[in-house]
Amino acid sequence: MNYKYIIIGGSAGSFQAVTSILASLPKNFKIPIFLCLHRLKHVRSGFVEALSIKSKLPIVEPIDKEHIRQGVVYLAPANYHMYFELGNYISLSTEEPVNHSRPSIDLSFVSAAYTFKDKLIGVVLSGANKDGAKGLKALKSANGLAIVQDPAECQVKTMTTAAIDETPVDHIFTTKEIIDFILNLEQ
Amino acid sequence: MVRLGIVEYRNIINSLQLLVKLDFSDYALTSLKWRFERFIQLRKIHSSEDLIHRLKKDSVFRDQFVQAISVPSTSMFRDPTAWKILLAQIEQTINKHPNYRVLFPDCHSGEELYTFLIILKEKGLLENVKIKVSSFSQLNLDGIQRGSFDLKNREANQSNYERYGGKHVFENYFGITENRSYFDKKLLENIEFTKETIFSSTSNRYNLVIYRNKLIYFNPQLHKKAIMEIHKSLLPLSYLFIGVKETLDCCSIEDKFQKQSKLENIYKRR
Repeated sequence: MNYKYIIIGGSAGSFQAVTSILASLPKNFKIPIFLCLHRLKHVRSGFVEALSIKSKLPIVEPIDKEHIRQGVVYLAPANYHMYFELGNYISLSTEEPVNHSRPSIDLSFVSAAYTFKDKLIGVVLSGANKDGAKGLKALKSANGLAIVQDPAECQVKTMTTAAIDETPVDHIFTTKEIIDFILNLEQ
Repeated sequence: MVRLGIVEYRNIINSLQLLVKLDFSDYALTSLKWRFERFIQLRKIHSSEDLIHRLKKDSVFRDQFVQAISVPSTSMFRDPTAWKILLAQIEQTINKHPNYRVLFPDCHSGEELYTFLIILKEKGLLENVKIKVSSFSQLNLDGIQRGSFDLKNREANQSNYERYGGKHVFENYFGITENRSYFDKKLLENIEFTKETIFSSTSNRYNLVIYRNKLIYFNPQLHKKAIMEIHKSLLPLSYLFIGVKETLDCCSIEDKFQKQSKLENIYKRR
């Protein structure tokens, strides 16, 4: 396997899965991870700190044009869309919300798929709207690997079932299986 | 969803260069490509060739396209603490300086402008400030001058204003007709509106440039060029206000600007 980037989208009910995933990764885990999580638009601080409590990897909210480094977790900042540019850097945007969301999971996934193609793994977690479904479809069309959290395990199933309905995904995994799969990438 | 290939994307940019004399070739690819795709989808256009054909034939359509690819601001009083800190930095100077000049380049919608006007009005400083507002889209400039905003952002504007610590009831600043709010036009008395970009502007001797969330739409080369243009348009020891997730660090500008606030992106020109 030759995956170089992981992008994770989540909304209502995803916090627990995200923190479990982050808590399980060793501090020498190299693949950069992008988190696009729905969050309050006006609250700029606190989220990184909350996610960092159990993470051994550094978590940052990127500034515009920040270079992507190995071993770092990037969290989409409040009230910005997060994109990925050729040249291995992140760009931000204040364009209109998509699916009532900024950051929008669809926009981040579409951009990541366009830029990283078959080097990308996309994971859609629990959530209450359909953001992420079209993004995961774009990721599959670009030969990325699509993983969806098992709706049976999700606090809110809307987002994961929308993703599964939109595109044939590679894996439907529990949080535990997602963690095992990611850990295996660097074995 | 419509997806443009890189050749189609470049063809559209080349057409814009020919037809409207605007150069988008060094804009950030992802956001601009998305704006093209979004327009094509919303207007049910069949292909990039079809788009280019209509850009050539139809000037109304052309203006609408140019407007659609500019990115509007999100809401009024976005990042309320940043505005508070900006005011603290400049208030004294405006008080002493009855001809304080402010430039709003690439101002495609009025949220940031009206935010600033309300801040000045509440401090009794509106008469001391002369403002120049520019956009590459005449439709945007017309819209800003109408002072009309979609009410869907009403709650966000209101709560941002309250977080900022506004003195009044926010809704007193505007009237409401159907789905839109209309701001008091008296706020606009000291403003000049010009169709230009940061790169075509010959404006200089400004005390403050407000350029929030604009650099994010440029690639690294154009980003740097924009900062150099802004530097030229500012007086020594005057201010530049950019978005909270933007930076000047990329451009080796230590000799040109100094950051004034730990938390917010307010810079002083050296």
